[in-house]
Amino acid sequence: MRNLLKVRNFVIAALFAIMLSACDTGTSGTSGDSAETVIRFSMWDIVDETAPFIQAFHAANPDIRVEIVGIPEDYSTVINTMVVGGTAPDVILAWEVDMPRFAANGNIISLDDFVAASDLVDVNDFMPAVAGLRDMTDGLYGIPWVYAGHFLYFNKDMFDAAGVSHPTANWTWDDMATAAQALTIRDGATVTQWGITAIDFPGIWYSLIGQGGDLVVDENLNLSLGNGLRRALEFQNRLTNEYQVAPQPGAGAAMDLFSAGMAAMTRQGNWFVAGYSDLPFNWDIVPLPGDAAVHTSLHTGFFTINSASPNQAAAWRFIEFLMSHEGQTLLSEFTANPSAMMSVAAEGAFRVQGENGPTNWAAFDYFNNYGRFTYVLLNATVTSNLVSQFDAVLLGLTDIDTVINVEVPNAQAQLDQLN
Amino acid sequence: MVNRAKGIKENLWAYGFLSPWFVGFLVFTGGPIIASFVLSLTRWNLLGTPEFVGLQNYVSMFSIGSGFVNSLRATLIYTVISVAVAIFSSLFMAVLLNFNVKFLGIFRFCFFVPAVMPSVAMAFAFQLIFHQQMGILNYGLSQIGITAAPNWLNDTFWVWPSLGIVTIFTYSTGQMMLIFSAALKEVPEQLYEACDMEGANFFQRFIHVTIPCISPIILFNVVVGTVNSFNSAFSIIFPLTDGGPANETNVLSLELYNQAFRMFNMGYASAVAVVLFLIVGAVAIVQFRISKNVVNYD
Repeated sequence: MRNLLKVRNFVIAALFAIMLSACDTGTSGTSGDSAETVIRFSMWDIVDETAPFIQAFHAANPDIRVEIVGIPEDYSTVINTMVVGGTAPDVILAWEVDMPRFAANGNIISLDDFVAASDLVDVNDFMPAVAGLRDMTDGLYGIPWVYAGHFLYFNKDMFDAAGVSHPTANWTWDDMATAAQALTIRDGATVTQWGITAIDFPGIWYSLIGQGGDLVVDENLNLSLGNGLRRALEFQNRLTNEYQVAPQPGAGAAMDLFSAGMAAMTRQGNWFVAGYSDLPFNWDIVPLPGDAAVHTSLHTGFFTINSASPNQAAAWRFIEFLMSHEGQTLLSEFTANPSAMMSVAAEGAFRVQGENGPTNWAAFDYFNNYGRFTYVLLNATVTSNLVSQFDAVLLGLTDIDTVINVEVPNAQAQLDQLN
Repeated sequence: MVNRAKGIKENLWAYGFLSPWFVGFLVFTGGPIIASFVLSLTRWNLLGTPEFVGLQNYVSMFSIGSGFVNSLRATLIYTVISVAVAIFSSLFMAVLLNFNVKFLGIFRFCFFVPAVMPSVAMAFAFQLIFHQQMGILNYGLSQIGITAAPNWLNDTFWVWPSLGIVTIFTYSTGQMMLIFSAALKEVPEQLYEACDMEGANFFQRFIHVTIPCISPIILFNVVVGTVNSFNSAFSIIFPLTDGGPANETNVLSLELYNQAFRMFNMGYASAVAVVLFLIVGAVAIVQFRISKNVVNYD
């Protein structure tokens, strides 16, 4: 008997060890209150359940509770890992490049039946560029939440102090370069005010290349980079090294010279409008200046439903609410991004007015007229690595011909390997 | 019979208490190592089903334009710099702590505090310090008349000294400092007394007595530091440079991460992991072989 007890104790110790090494899979389900269904929703913005669009959903759907899975860094990496590990949330806000992968591999479900039965979601109301993304999958697997593009932000006070006319929607690269030279202030060899910041977001590079005349990405989702890339690199190289009106590219985006009042212009996504709302100087926005073409790269994300979710009906009710007029309005106000639904976007809920700017809300119109989804349709690491080569040109570490003739084909080869 | 039963009982308890380690090793180390070997022979995008491709990943790794050779070069450079910096700085600090001065505890605390900071948080702090336009380092240099200060993290030369500076504040260096500090206290006092009688100065004592006496510890720290640098490079380099500029610091652990979790090329990433595993093992063996002639175990 005593021996049996000893063996039992040993088994208990071993089981305890195994239990310690077990992990919580973080699955959703029904809460202690059996009337309430809990669904998990992932997004890259840092939000919690007090966000207005979540609160409004809870008020309208007291039987469902949404838990936010916030992933502020490396979003795609984390979501893919969660999908593989079986811990992905019920509603996944998926990147443009991930949504087709998830659909092809059965990780998300078709929304066609849900949409057909819904009175709240009108898929015919999407802006044309967003509507075109439906061709990426055989059926509707994701619904675009909002969309975004890029602007030229400028410090009005610096322009006025230098006697330089404010940028307009008709500005060209040359206009921008001339203004940047007039706005750069030096104290001996030290620059105390830059005309324009370095490019610290990959999307701006691809907008610049599109303005140079390249497609960036063709209809077969291959890189289409040539003379536009050359023109973009030459232009940015002039700003950085010839005119020395833009600093060299820096590692990370930890420092924003524009918001610090050390640069007169910067090129960023429109979501910076919300971040800049409390800037202590007067500022405004205009479309990015054009060259061979006027262009901005567009961004969006897709509401998708995890095929492993036990609460797909509740997940759809959440998506349906967010794609309703009320949900889209709240999301636009919260993210400062226009709704992908034209009727809602026209109402302008995305206009997050700061104390000192912006005023030129018409600048948003050019997204619809000149915006295209380009590099966001490709693997983000491949396109980011290519951007590091663009930066290397500015740093004098490589040359433009090498980038175009060696690095671009290498990147395409990597993309081919992934497909 | 009683003794045998007692022995079995003790063994069972021993295995019971050891089982957490065994489970942890099997689940988090042994299993993944075996899985990596198997996956390195496949093509797998994480979401689909792995497809057997034989040695194709290894062939791709060594083909032109793969980036593997560049990553290997970056890894070796980082290892040499980080191990050298960590050994010298930790030994230097340990020697300082070995002096019998007031407030030794405070000094020990101050020297070790950076080592317990999360390396990622520290890396972000150094990103601000090294910033070309707004970093405090270049500001300090400008105050002493150096206006053409480097773009520390975006220059293929200066990025390596920058990483070396960061290494001084890592856990690895702090851990080495403690080990050296303990070793220095074990050096027989009579050897120093003999040196004093011979009229040796501080440096002669250090070179001819201290170093030989702690040489096994130096070897230990070099081996552990080398192995650590292959792995810990990621936690420093990923947030600080993300492999830049122009892939200059794209070390193998970062290449592995990018291939596996950002490009969903798990088969290739596993092949990189296998090669990294073999390299670390080979380097450790070589270090032990070479050290036979220079380490004093008496």
